Amino acid sequence: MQREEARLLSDLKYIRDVMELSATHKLLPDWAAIVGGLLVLAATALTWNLTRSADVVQVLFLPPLQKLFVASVWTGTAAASVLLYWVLALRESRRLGVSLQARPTRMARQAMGPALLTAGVITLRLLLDRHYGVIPSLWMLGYGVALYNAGLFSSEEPRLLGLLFIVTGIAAMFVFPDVDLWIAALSFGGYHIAFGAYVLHGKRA
Amino acid sequence: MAVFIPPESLDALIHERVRLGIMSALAAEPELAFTQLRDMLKVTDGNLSVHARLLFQAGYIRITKGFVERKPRTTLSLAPKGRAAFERYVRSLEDLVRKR
Repeated sequence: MQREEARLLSDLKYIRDVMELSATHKLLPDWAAIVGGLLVLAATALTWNLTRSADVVQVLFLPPLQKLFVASVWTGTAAASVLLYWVLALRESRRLGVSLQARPTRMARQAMGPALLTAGVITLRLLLDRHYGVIPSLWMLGYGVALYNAGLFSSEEPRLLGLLFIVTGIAAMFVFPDVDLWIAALSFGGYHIAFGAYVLHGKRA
Repeated sequence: MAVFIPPESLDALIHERVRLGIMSALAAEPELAFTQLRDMLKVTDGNLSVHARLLFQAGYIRITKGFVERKPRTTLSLAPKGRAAFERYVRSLEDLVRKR
């Protein structure tokens, strides 16, 4: 009798999980990813305009005001992208009647935390030690791992994007350390635009 | 291994795990591509085909074959008969759990 009850409860849980997972597919960011990618490309153009170098370290040799400007542009880009993601995700979840607190969505968000926190802590250490050169590739790796982890709880698209970021981060760190501005533009800009377009296409297909 | 025989009030066609997954996913989404459903339920193409065909033959789901950018695409959706059967199934399941 206990086994039968366990099976019935397990069926109910399974139904809920599959229904949530099915709806979560619709919450993958499309326009948020595209606009976020475009913001990164704009930030890259502004940085290039000031440094005329693909090496991010060159920012350090700018006058203090310009240095502050570049730092603000990149911080603002990151903040605007995250804010945009939340606003659009909230709007989409209301439209579809899917909670952002649904288990797969919640788990995906939580799975991103440790990798991003680790990247943040290492960045702080690198900033204190004045090792600025590896910070962009470190964030490609950290963000890639975060996306890969999130994909384990949602669908395979974020997982593949995460793998792409990890490979690009490794390449940026060891093979192309002097052109990290271009690689940041390619990954945080180009990959996000391509991902958003792919998701958008999938939703409309 | 002991086999759990579903009570009579539960629709045996829906009760099988893969078919239950198909019905649950389609109850949440108006339409899903065959590949999306396969990835979501973590089953093989053949396995999904067999179970989807049974649900289709019972009139529970619709299977539409078409082309998107010249590539074949199969989509599945819940038929009205299937939605009613699924709602009945969930209600029966909840009743059974409450009674135990």
